[in-house]
Amino acid sequence: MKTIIALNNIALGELSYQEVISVIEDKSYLSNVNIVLGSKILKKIRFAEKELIYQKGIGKQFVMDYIEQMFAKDRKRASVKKKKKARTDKKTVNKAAVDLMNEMGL
Amino acid sequence: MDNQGLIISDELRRDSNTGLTLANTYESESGFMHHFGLRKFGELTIAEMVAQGTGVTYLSGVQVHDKEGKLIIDHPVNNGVKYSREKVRRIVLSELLGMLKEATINNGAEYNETKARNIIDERLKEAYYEESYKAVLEWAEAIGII
Repeated sequence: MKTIIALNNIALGELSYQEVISVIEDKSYLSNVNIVLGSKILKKIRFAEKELIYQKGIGKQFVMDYIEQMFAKDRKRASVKKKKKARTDKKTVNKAAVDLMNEMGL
Repeated sequence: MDNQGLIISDELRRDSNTGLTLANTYESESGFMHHFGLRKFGELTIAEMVAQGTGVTYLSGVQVHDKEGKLIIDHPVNNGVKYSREKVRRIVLSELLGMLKEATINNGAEYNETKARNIIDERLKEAYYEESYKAVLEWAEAIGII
């Protein structure tokens, strides 16, 4: 059985955010984070089922990431010349990811 | 552009403002000093491209290389973005988490994003602010707080 719980808004100045959690088999997962301005939801960041285990205040990181992305997008629009990403080798990236997981004990 | 690996000049020097080990530096026609700086993060090497003017430093790109010097992450930054360690740290955190997520999806492995975020976040803080932490501790010790 899945229970959805919308938590109280947490203020960040004029903005606020609301964490919505889903409780499945006695475990709480972050279901979505709503970024709110006044009474309007600016952005609803959704997560896949059981993707993220809920911890108090976890949503703030996603709000900050969203704001950072918004600024980045705005700057991209202002920029005349777009920079291209260099090509990376998938196998190298995959191996680096596995090495990093081992190194960090993940 | 192909993956050409990490090219480092013979002369390495430390930049106390950014905490980077500067591997390459050149002055552009505009008068900006462009630096290619390196920072170790475990077995990985983070390369930061910055443009330093009078009283302002811009970030122009972030790359991450594996232990063999091969490029695994390229994050170009568009013009006009001011440099700060925290900004780069957050870019690296986001890119590394994205890389881990994609790798685990491709390999069909289990991945706890919350744990990964917490661990990598902490380790990156150490990599970026270790000297600041040391300086604060030395200062606190010197004035007898600790």
